[in-house]
Amino acid sequence: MAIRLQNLTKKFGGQGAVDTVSFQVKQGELVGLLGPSGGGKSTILRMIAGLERPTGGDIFLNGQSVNNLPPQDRGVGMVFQHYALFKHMTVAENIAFGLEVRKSPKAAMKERVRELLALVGLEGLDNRYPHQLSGGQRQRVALARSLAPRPGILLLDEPFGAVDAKIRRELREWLRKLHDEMHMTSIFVTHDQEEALEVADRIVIINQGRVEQVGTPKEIYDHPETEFVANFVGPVNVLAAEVVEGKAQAGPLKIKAPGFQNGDRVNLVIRPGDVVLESAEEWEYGTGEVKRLVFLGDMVKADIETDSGHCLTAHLSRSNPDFDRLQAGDRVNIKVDMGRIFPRVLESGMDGWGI
Amino acid sequence: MATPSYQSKTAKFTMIGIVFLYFTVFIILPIGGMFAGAFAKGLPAFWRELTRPEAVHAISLTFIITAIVTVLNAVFGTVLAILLVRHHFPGAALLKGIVDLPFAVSPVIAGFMLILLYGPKGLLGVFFDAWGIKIVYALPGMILATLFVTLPFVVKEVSLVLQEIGTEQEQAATILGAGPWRTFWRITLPGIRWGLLYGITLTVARSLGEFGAVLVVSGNIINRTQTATMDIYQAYSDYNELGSYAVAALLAIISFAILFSLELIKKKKEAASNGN
Repeated sequence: MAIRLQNLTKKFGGQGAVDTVSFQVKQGELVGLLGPSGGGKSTILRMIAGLERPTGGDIFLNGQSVNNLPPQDRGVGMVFQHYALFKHMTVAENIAFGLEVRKSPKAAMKERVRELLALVGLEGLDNRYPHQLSGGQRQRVALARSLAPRPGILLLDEPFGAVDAKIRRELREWLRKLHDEMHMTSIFVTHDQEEALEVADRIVIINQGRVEQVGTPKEIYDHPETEFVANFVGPVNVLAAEVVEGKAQAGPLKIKAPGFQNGDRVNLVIRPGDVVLESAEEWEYGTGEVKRLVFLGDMVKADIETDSGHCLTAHLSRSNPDFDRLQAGDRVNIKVDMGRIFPRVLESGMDGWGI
Repeated sequence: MATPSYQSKTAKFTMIGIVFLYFTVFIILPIGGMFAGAFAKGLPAFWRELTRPEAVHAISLTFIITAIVTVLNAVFGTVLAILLVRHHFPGAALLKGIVDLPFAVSPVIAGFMLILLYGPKGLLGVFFDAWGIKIVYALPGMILATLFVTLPFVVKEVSLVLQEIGTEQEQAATILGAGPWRTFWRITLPGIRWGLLYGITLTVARSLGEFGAVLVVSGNIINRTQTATMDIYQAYSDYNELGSYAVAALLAIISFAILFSLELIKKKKEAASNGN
């Protein structure tokens, strides 16, 4: 089922939670709503499910407006953040609930429950109660329960929020596989950018009730349209800069700034992975000193202070010859070709190793 | 930590001694005295007193009132709790305060309020009188009085559980296709069942033992509007101590049974909320 939101708005007691949100989800797509907590992501999800009534705007499922359709009639499945399993029912009874409501024949119901238990890898746990299961198992039961009536749309609210890190990674991969096998349209809410990048076909960045950007993980990461997106998705250096001769300049760093006037005050946003350090002898770029090195397994994080007094962080991958060689106190050549430029809204542009 | 010193052991046993003494003097001895009194002249005498026609009438009247009040409170208490916890409406805060009122008002005053309202000259009493319906000095008034003093039990217990279980399970049921009615029977009611049962048990206990409010509205007419507690008082006033002890012992036995089931329910309740 395809989903289209048009100027969707929700106010709680005069306070705006969701503000004219519009985006589309194609049939079969897996879309992640990403943004900070309290930004309105869950409210959007709950409006699609029919649990909240929009203050304004429209929701279309397969081209039909569902604004006045109760949740029962929307053909939507939902997995709640805290699972919301029926405590007084067994695993099998939980999964069968949606079928029982639809008055499925007993035999078909049993068969479907068995099928779903196998799908989520919980065979043999039919008669357990939710409190006898681990967090990951409860999550799977919640998923199986929501899938039982074969919904056209699956909504997941922070689906991995309440399980520990290792199980979370397993569940993510598993969810992606499941989605591909089931040919459903899915939307999940998360505040974890890594999760969104890994699982989603496309990401909708939501901040303070508004859509900041919609795009594939690569588009979002490489071409953030706002400083917020750049900051929220992936690590960044933010340097206060000024446009001089068509280039944003911060100390020795110069990045082309098309669309800006000379003299504009801007923020220069640079991914640590785009900072190239060279211990070469020719000082054609800006120079600086390595202040601190942090070993992070697959990479080394280097905090650099340029001779002009700017602070920035560089990431060195294992394949970089300097990975093992670099030492705190070393002088380095700093080369940056990639960076994004945003108008500086707040005068107190962050400038430092805030990563 | 070091092993408990000699002094702290003494202190501990002194404390335990005081607790036991307290319980003995204020609870165990009176109860023991009552049972001793009830069975002082043997089981046949006990039985004879218990089956006095006015005692039988009073006890059955108490049971009738208790049954009606419990059913009404269970139904309306649950509905009220759901309204107060789940729905926001103007005056909800006021209602929440009023729910506690019967705890604060003396039962005797509650009885008088009912007489003022439903009595022969009362605002509503005049109206009911015209239809030939007697409220005060009759069963309806006694039920109203008992309803008044027992109102908070079910509402409070069910409200607490409702708040604890939250709305996510109900929402999940709705999305899975269940209508409001099915969601209530299949999800909400099983969720609150132990709280509801606890509230019902408290209501039963209080209804059986209510004296003041019912005394005032009933007029205490023997064989007509006298309840078990009033019969106990009446028998005692008439120097029939054995009679009052016998009925009192019966009520006490029922209370113990209720207390015991209350403990069982509490354990179930705790187990249910632990099995989170």
